Amino acid sequence: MEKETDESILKRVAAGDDAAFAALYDRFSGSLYALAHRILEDEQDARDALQEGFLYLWEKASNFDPLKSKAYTWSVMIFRHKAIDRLRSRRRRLKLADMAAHDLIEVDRVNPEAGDQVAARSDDAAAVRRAMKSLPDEQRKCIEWAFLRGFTHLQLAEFFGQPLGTVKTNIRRGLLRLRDTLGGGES
Amino acid sequence: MTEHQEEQAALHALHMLDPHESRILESEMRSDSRLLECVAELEESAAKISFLLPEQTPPPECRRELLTALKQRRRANMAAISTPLRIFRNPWLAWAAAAGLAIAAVGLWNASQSLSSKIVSLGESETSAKSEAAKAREINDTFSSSLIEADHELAHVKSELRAKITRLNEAGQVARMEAVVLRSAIKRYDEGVAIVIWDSEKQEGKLKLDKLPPAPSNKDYQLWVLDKKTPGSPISAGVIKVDQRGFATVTFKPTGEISEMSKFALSLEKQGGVSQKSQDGPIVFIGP
Repeated sequence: MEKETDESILKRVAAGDDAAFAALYDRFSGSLYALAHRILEDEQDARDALQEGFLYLWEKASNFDPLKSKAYTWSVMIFRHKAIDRLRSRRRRLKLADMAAHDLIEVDRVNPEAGDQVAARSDDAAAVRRAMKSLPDEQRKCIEWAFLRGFTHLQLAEFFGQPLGTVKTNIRRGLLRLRDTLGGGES
Repeated sequence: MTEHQEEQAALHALHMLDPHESRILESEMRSDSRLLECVAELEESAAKISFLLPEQTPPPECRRELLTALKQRRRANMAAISTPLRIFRNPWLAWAAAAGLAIAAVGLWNASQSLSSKIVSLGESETSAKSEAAKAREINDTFSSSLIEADHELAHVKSELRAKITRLNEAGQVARMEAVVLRSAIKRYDEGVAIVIWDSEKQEGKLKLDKLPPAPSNKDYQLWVLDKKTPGSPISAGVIKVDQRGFATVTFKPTGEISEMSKFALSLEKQGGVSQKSQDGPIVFIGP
């Protein structure tokens, strides 16, 4: 039997199907929880973000447009926004200077995943890893710190001691290159 | 699509725009399908970064809690809808409600007409705002290029100014320097040459000697500076050693401050020099 697409499940969620919602949770929760956990670096915060994100997804599923994006992309963007908003309000108490500018993603590390569901994901991960490795350091770091730490361009400029224009250019060039390397959004 | 829009699209994909910037971009996306596509592609690329994080199964109770929360939410919604429905079991109330709904529908239709006209007017405002934004961007671009030109000009002026300052400093240095030729009344020193270049501000000088007879054994040449304020107390400027040709070039600094130089003198003193000028050492050169 052919596996149901993420988009189809999300369409059923939009129609108020509880079972579809549970199926979507089973399919996405591993990735989305890992993302929230990585951004927030706190288990309880990550659990709260997961619950908040999935309830938001349930309520807004009817807004999803499969012509504009994939279900996974749409979900990642929602969860990331929720987690980053949470992180930004928490970080007001912290100083940028207290953070060290280490690499947030180990691009050389291979994820220890196995199984049918993750086989395709491992291929995607390998492609993304290659694409990220091909970026110049300054572009990769800007994107990493923006994606996983929710830094604004002003904060990145201060953090890396670079002019604001340079940071914006690094992000633009880096993301465009990532898009081109990954084949214009087709995985 | 402009480079600026592409940049805003990238920042939007990473949730970095402030609400105002986001609104502008979203408004531009509505009328520019290429921009809309670009934002979607960049969001897709950004979302893929999450593939690099190993999947992490959330604690099992998360699923249970979430599904319970969802059921509670649905029950709350159902209760909110079913309570008013129960009232309509009374036919009179149902008719009254229907009449009320009809009136409300007319009211809503009027409101909808009013909203439609407002939407048209807002659309016009949006177009006007877009053209204002485009103009502002043009002004900004012009201003930026003028700023770059001004920066270049400033850098050029600065370098010219630096060169002029260097030339002036050099000229000033030369102006405050004084060259003094020392002469000898002793026949043995007829062929000898002794020249001093004195920098009054730095309180130092250079002595050049040539063709001087070698100093007798147990003797050394010693240079002295005479100050106009204390003419009777020459100030030592050090012992001078000449080579076999009688040649020496020495930079010296007198042991005391010279307020106004009047003369330089070269004398023969006992070996190693003396701290104060005595009558014993004959002056072999003096000037001016």
